[in-house]
Amino acid sequence: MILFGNEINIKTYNCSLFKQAPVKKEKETIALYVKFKGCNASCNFCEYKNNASDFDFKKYKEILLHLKENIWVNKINLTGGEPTLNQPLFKKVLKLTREIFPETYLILNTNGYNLLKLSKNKNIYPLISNISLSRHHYENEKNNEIFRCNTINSKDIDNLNNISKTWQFHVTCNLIKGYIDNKEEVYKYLDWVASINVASCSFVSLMPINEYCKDNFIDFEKLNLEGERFKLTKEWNYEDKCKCNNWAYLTNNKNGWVKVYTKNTYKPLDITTSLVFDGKNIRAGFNEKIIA
Amino acid sequence: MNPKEQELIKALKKFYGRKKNAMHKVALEMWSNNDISDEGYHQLFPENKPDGSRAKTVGSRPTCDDPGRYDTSKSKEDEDNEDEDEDGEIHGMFGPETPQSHHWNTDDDGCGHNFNQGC
Repeated sequence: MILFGNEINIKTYNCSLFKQAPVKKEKETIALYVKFKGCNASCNFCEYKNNASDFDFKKYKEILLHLKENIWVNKINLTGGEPTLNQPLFKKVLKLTREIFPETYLILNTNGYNLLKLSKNKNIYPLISNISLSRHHYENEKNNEIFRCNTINSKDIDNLNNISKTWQFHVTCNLIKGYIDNKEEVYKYLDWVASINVASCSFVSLMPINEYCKDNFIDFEKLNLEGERFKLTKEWNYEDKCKCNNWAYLTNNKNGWVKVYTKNTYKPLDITTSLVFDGKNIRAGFNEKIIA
Repeated sequence: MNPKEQELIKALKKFYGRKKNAMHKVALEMWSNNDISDEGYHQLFPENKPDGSRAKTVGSRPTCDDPGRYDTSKSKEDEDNEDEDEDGEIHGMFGPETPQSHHWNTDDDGCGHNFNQGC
């Protein structure tokens, strides 16, 4: 596939389900990640320091228009850093993205820094399909400890989940030694997710990108979580590069269950099937070569 | 039906017991997400046919058939709020030396994972 005058490696098959042969995609699609510079947090597992640029709005618009002409963008992910750090910029980017891609699934990847402020502007609600909230512990204090800053508390997440009817909330949890690191802790985390009526969550084993990650790695697969209330529903593989599982955690809350997914990336550098706008340039994959 | 689905059906029966309404809500959602098959659904509710249609993707993407759904015009209240946002609080607080982080430490981080198709 040629994009921006470069040959791009597009994922043409869906992930393999339960080790069956992968199914060919109906059409060529690509996911776009838009990185914002700066963050209010400073997590030890994060190596994304200063690797985004000041936002070139004109370039971003050109890139969106080029993509719209040439390929089906199936997912846009506003990520960072912390995308909501600079609210006026975030709103401007969000609005432009929606003008060009009104129906694409759009995810805000946030630690919740400015969610309460943003929620005052109700026009923003329908622009975002999914809020993927990073939350690495069920206790507010321990979550703050991981992020090394104050983060949105459980009560506010619950309130936001109630008032923003169109937002789908999803919480993501990195498995870290000393925090969510065993079966009991995972179940407590899931009970917390159910208590704030969030419908889905995910657990991620840290990628070995620095010493902290190596020292504090927890392999989800070794936690032996399956039990009467926690059942596997799907297992996906993307060649030998990564693997993810879907699970159902049965609950007594109004949703009745929490959808869970877990992911293990074995060859992060081999996954180049997403485009990443780093504020200035578009790249084929994270930290990969600039293509425009 | 694969063994994993059979285990799931058993777990639903055991967990919900007589709470048939709660179980039906969950079972229907699981069926529409292709987590349980027609056969699995009928094991739970032999007397019913699942209504609705299976979702092609899980997570029920918001539809765009609501006119004005992407209306980005501003109300007076929103403009007031934006004024509050632009008070300079953010700018200048986080220089390039400030440690930055990422919500996940993965590359293709899977946020927005499609529960029916993988990432």
